[in-house]
Amino acid sequence: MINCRSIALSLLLLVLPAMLKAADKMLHGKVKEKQTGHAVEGVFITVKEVPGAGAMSDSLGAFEFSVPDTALTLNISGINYKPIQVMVKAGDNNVSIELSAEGHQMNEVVVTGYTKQTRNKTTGSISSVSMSSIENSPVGSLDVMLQGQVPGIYVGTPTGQPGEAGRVTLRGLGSINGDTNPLYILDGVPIAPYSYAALNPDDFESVTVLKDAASTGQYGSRGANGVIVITSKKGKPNSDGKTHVSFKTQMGVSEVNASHVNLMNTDQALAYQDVLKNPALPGWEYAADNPANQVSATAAAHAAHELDSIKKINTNWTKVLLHNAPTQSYDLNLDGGKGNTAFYISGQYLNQQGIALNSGLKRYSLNTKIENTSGRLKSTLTLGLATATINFIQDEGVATSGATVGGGGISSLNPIASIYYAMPYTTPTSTPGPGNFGADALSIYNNSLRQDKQFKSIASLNESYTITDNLSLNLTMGYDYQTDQFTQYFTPDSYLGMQQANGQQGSYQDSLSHRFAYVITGGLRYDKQWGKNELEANLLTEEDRTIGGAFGYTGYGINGQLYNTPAGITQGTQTNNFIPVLSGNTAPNNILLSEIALLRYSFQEKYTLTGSLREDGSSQAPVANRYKTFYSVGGGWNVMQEDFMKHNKIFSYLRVRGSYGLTGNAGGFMADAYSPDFGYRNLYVPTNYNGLNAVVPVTPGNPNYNWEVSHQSDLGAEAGFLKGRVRTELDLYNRLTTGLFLNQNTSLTTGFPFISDNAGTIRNRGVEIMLQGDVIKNKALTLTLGANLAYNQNTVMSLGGQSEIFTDQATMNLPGYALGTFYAVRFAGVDPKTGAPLYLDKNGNVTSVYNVANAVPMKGKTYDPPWKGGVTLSLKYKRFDVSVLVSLIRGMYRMSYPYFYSHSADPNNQQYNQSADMLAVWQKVGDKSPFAGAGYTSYLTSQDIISSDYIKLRNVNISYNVPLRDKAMRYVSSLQVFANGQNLLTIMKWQGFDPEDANDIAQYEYPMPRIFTGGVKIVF
Amino acid sequence: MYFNRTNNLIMTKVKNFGIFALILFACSCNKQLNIMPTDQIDGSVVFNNISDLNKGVLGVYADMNEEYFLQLGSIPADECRIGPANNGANGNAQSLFDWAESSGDLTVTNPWSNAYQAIYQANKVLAAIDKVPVSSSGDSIQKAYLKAELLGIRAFEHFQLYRAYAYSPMYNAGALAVPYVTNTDINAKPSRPTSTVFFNSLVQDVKSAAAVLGNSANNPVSGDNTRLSGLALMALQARIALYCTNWLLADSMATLVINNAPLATIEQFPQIWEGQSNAEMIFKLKRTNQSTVRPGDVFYNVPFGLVYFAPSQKLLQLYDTVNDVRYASYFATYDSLTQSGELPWVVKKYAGSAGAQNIADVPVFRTAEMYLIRAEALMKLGNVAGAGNDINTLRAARINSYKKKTFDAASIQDAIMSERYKELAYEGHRFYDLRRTGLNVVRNTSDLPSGFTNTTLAPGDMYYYIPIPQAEVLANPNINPNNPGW
Repeated sequence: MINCRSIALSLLLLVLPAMLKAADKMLHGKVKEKQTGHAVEGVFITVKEVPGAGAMSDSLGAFEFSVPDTALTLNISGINYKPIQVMVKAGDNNVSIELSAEGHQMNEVVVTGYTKQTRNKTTGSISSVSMSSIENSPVGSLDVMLQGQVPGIYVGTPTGQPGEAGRVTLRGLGSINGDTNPLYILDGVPIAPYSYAALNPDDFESVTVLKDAASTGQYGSRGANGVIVITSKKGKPNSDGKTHVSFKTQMGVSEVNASHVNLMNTDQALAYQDVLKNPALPGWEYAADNPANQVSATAAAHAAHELDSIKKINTNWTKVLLHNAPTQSYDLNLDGGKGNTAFYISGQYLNQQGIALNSGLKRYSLNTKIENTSGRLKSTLTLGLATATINFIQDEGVATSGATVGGGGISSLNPIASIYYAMPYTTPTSTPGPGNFGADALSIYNNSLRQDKQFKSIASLNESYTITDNLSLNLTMGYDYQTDQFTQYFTPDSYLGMQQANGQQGSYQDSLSHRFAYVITGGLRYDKQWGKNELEANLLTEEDRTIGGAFGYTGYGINGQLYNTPAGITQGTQTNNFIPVLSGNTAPNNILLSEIALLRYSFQEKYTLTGSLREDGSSQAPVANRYKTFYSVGGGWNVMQEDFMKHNKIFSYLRVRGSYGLTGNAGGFMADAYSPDFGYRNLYVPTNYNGLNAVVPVTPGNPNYNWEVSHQSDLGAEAGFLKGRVRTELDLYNRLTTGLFLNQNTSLTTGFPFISDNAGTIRNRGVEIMLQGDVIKNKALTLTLGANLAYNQNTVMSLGGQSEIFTDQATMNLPGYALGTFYAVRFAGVDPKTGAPLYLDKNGNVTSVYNVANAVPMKGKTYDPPWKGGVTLSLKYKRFDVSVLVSLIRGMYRMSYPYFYSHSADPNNQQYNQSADMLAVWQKVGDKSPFAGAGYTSYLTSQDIISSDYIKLRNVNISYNVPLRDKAMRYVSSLQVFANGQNLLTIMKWQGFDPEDANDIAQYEYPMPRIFTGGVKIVF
Repeated sequence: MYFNRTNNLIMTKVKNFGIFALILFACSCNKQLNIMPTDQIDGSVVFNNISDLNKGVLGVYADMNEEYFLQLGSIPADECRIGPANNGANGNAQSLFDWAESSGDLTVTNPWSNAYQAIYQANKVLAAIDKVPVSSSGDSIQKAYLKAELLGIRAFEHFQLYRAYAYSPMYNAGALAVPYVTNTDINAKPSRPTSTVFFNSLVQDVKSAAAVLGNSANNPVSGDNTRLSGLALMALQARIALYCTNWLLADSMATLVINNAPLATIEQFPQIWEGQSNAEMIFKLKRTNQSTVRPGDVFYNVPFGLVYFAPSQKLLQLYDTVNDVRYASYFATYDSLTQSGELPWVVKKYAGSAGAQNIADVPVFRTAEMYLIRAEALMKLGNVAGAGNDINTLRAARINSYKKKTFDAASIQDAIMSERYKELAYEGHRFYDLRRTGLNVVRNTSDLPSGFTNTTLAPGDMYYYIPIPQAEVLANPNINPNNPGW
């Protein structure tokens, strides 16, 4: 709408009569804020046709400079204002400029889902994501960039694998059974979570985060976890009728950041093994103090010689198994249009290699948007096509939601695990074999592939027909289509290839899955203004259908020269053990049908009331509970509009709002542990016994399965001070989720470990604060600092009669505690006399016996952080632009397997390299050590539950607008160079690569890289 | 007026549209929302005829992962030594071997949950079986067979659970057994009946099944030994009698089996373990390359090439390595293994073949066990000569040029235990045999991994008992008390 208005303004100015001929004149002008009429200081006014000409507005909003007296185009830009163009006709000496505030000001138009409003007339808690800090971030997945940007959002990035999606939660975890991701809507089309690798964030114009019931109520059964509404960029018809072409290229490097990984080097490892006295390890086998080497002089000499030659090897496996990897991207955008048609076309190529060998993301994307207005009909077509090729390392999955999953397998198939496991005195050139972790990992890198080739297309068509001035008919149709071709091979003569279960001669796997989700939304919109009143009503009906399928095979007996093609597979026969394994399904398969009524009433700009009513019907709910009604109400009061505020000098704006509503978590049906589409049914699947067809039950079924719903109330205030230089926002919320989807643990004697059920209540309540201020604002320099902080208190209120539900070996849920509270046997130190590990039993008494029955919940230790925050800095100095994003997390814990295995003298784990901490292992009577002596079995205890708090310098972007000479200006309208740093610095207690993760258990996840890039953006 | 009319008209249109939309919605919704699964079969329509029922019964067999019990009965005993590379994250059952397991370990949980899963499946089919229509007398007979088979499986799986998880490993009528489940109530939280009550239910199932299956050597439906036969039920009764110290019944049931299924000859014996012979195999679980769990997996990890467990020296030393045909069938020695840091001896019994490693059928009942049961029963009944006779018969079928021995009351006991140890090695009997007779588990010092010095596990130790899995205790408080020490 802002764009429309500015275009209208330009057009209006065009129509003004032009009279005089070219000669220099002094152009005077004044810049005002459209909404308040206040003078605006520090706005740049440049002249498109006359490079170098221009000025900046002073404290009265005034400016003047000398220009030729011809028709001119002024480019006007100021911080926190929408840049506009103003046409000046020959003869005009005076120009009056009105700027619309952007950002957290009141007249910004926000896309709130099915509708859009000026912020003044919204009643919900809605945050807009600043696109400036996203623009140049070389991150493959859009969700990962949201961390620290919006109060109350948390993005747990599971791994550093390029293109990997994170776990996003808004206002805390509201569901036990997994799906806590918000709903993503792109141009009116719901898009699948966890799959953003093929989307180019550069094509997004706005990202809006809807948090409370007033804003998410319109999405009914899918609104409970919040909604992220994205609109893609659109074209603008330029006054000169030309098409704008912009080109951006960016190059850089992803770096390994192992500063918090503290593994032993050869000298340390040998010294440590001398303590362990395990004859299978060279540090003792060849030790001078080993009695076996003291039997004779020759034995001693032999041992000394062996030890000496081992000491010469010191392999840093982090450097061998990880490397610095290049990143590059090229973007080409065209936008323009004429008359009533506008278009936007963009193409991108991104090639981001991962720091683990043979991993990375390659993306080609094409996005177009065409808008046309013809009489009463307005049409918008958006079409996006993209392919992404993602190479994974072995044993690194595509992370899905939930506490118990995530990448980073604890096995030597995973090269990241081998970084920790491999001994520094083994060499990369040694022969792979059992326990030779480093060489095995290299062999896996070189002889295997794990690749996902995605094709994704998202398209939407919106038709809006104005029936009368008040009534319009709207129709949106769109789809999200994705295919994934997954390929994996192991060459036949490699270490792993020789161990493939069927035939021991390599394997080749190929599978293709597709998912097609379409939405059709249609209905009427009624908009009426009379006197001081305004009414907007929408009556919509919607169909949301998702279908999919997959098939695949794994073939064996691979021809060594044709290992990356199905052609290399040996046909299976009765005798050769190469019978391929086939797979396939026709999932997902579900439908959601809805009727939606949205209502808004505004009185002047002062009061706004909103309401929504939505009935959803889902194929994923059993017949008895198929339909569910959701609703919300909200109110907003623009205090500034009141007469008594007319003379206030403190506030530049002030607004309070409140809302209450009922929303649902339909996505939770998909997260059902037994069956995503049919969790309520008792299902049988085919299997076979002795080669004969058989059926086995896989789900117990629950005819009472029901919807999980959230009751959320929200109270918010937004205030601006000092002419809008300081902007604040405060939200208080209380969200009660009832009828939780949960795995009601059943006695194993029933044949199933749990039943999918609805029971219990979780409460999330908290406070969100946003503060932003223009600290310095003068002609040369503008410095804006922002901070957001959110505290969320999560409490499991009840579990439907159960006293506890354990989710996995690390966390459990029990009433009175936060969701996902860690439980463990408490470690009580090491007995200085014996070196034995000591534990506390349930009653707090010290015991030397480890028994899981003594595990206790650890209040306050949970994996979803209660404190989340971000600090932003934006600095404009002359032609420089700097933006900085810091994000922080507090109160998050994770159970760390890497810590466990690298701090264990247990004979079971002596084959693994250890942390240098372990040099302090208990050795003799009287030693005070936190690490139990050799010979004692290690168990996971409270010791392995480690704080994952961090303060992270997540993104720094510096750009410079290069001044252009006249000649250059003829061809290039702007030239920008920029540098970007990602994940630069982390302050943390965590030992390991990175404390971030999507779940509660730290395994050997792909490390997060530090990415440096630089680039150029040219606009023609 | 004009405006008003238009507005009215529009409002009417809106109303019409709204009503139209509502009708459309209401009509199409229910039908549209009723999506039937395409990849699975709904439980309400899965069993429609005898063939469906048979698929359900095959499904029960498909999910019987007796390997879990095999592991539990072998690893904590003295049959194995741990492979040097069986440690850390890629290891298997180390804690079980080390007598340091936790009740949350999969090695403890899997046998429990898998057996009850099979029982649930059997109960599901049993619940549906009476409603399935029959069209011929042949169908009726088939149905009776299937029903008997399911009761037999239910009894067998419960007995497997009893052996591992009963409160008292030595038979004690008043001691707590494990829940005997005959329904499919998903919300049930059963407590532990006494052994007397438990065996009442169990014997009832076995007898009902036996009445239909008679003394058939093969399962009447499949015509082979991969499913329960009448003979297998007798073998089960013999084993149950042994554990319940009902010596007369043990003697008579074992005799019935022995009379119907002769021992494998010295020539046949190696072929059994190469998958070439069904001699003396009364009941086995079939394993193919589609089986997700395979007996060889207990001892050897194919994907990583790791030896999990090697034979113990204590066991190896008991055999006449030249003349005893069991030695070469059960074990192999590969000196090349030492180059990769492994021990040279391996358990060959389930090694499978090249390209099909670890794939071997799981022996459940063999005639040899029946001789050993009868020998023990006769000994307990005071018939030392009869017991000695059985031992001699068995040995003669295993050892080339074996010379018969005579036993006295003292030596026969050792001979039976030793013969069970040698004959039934890695079939999941050893730990239970020691426990049911109240003996210590004693390992040779040479079989201990470095860093371990404890050679003896006595009935006073908590690890002598297998705990009720933690997941069960947490979900079902009624299951308490847990086993001694836990």
